[in-house]
Amino acid sequence: MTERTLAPHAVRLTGLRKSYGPLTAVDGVDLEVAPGEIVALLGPNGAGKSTVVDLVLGLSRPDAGTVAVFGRSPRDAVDAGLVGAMLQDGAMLEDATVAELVALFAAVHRHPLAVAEVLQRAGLADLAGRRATELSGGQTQRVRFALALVPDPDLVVLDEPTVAMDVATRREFWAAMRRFVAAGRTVLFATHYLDEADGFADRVVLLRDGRVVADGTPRHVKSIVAVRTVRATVPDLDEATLHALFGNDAVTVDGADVRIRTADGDGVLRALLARSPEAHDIEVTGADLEEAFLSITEGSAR
Amino acid sequence: MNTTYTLLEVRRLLRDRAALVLTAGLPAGLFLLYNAMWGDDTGATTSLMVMMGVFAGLAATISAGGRVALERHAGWTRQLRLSPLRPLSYALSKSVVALVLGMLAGTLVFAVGLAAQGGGADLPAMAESLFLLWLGSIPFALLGALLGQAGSANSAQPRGMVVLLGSAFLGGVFVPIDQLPSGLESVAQWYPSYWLNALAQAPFGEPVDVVRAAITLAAWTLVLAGLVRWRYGRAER
Repeated sequence: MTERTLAPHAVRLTGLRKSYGPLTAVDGVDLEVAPGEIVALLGPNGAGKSTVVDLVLGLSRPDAGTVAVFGRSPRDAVDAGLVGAMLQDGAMLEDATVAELVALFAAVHRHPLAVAEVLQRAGLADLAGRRATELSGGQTQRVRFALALVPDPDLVVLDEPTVAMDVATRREFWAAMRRFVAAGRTVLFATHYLDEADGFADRVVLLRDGRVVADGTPRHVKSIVAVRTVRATVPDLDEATLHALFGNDAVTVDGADVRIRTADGDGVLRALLARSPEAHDIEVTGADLEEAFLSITEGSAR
Repeated sequence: MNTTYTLLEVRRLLRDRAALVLTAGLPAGLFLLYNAMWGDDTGATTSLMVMMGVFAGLAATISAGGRVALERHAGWTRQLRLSPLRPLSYALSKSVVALVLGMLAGTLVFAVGLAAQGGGADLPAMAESLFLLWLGSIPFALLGALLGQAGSANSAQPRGMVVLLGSAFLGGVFVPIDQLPSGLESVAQWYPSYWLNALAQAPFGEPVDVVRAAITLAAWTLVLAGLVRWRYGRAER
């Protein structure tokens, strides 16, 4: 943590595009992350999260657009030890111990933290002599975390960091991460767990089909999407009429109980009351991130 | 090339007892077997020793490709790209580790050879032969690194085996090259293991075209180094 963080943007992506054959993974992404921000890249599988992560880290090259990390190319930023990353895959050599893996990685960095310190910070001090292949899923993830710590980075990039963890381990992981970033580090993490984005990030970037479809605080993202659920008991309208009024996808009918998901809660409420004098037990609720996410990703199917 | 990284890799190699025993022990055992069958005091023993020393060198260096392929498969090389280490530098470290293993294996074969020859051994010639053997293994260390980077991890072992056996045959390791079908020798003369064996036999009085040996080995080293540079340079993207 030094004056290096004074660059205006920790990450700056402009007009980023990347295709793999006929598949467009990233389709024009612009994104600026300020130093100290904790940003979640949220989206379903195939939304382009991992591709964005690879591009930010310089692991692949964009077809078009630019990537700058602290004002430098990803390669330069990595070389300078500004970036640490937890990748989704691998990095476990069968014949190496945990301490050796960290030492191997430290050997190639210019200004690494001491191996003992890294092991301690990642909670691996007791496992230093353990073969990397004899670890549990959560322990393996801690080794990946340790490798990300080695350069003492200003920016930490995490690609689905908790995907193999149980709930308790996940909580523990984010607690460790919170301690690590307390000193003002920047974090960019890809996830498809909404509670993680909601709980850990102060900014959520929603990706769909390789594009940014929403960007803001978790609350802001919800307000942009403005999804409401209207619940009511409607004895005097049949299912076909309800579908005709509010659309097929948005309406769930279970006997007389009706659920309508909509961006315009007030409008739905007016229409419902005008057509159904007997409607009762009406309830309008705001969406949690999960619902916002659902409505926005279903949009891509149409 | 990063020295600390290379040293750590060598240490990892030395800890891998199974690989050491197999790579160094198999040629040494084969030497003892062949020596029991054909060894005598007219030079056959030294010739067999050099042949198995060459085999040890080839096996050690070419098998390095399997290690590279495994590390690629395990995601380690991808992780290393998040460090200042360049893929080319990694390839050179791996080649050095391969040469260290080759040296250990060759030395073990020669040590067993020394014991088999007893008092009649020509120590300076053996030292010279071992040095030439090590020098001539350099193109194969590069070849090993190249094999590890190309193709899938699963096919790395069988591919390495094919290259090893081919190189051993063309080097006259199992069957003296002049006893192979006619025409094969003229093909083998374009291949580095032929000259690797010929050079390593030279200190014991075998005639060798030193200039052609040096040119062939140097040419292969340069071409393979170029390919390694190209292939690992491409890994940057």
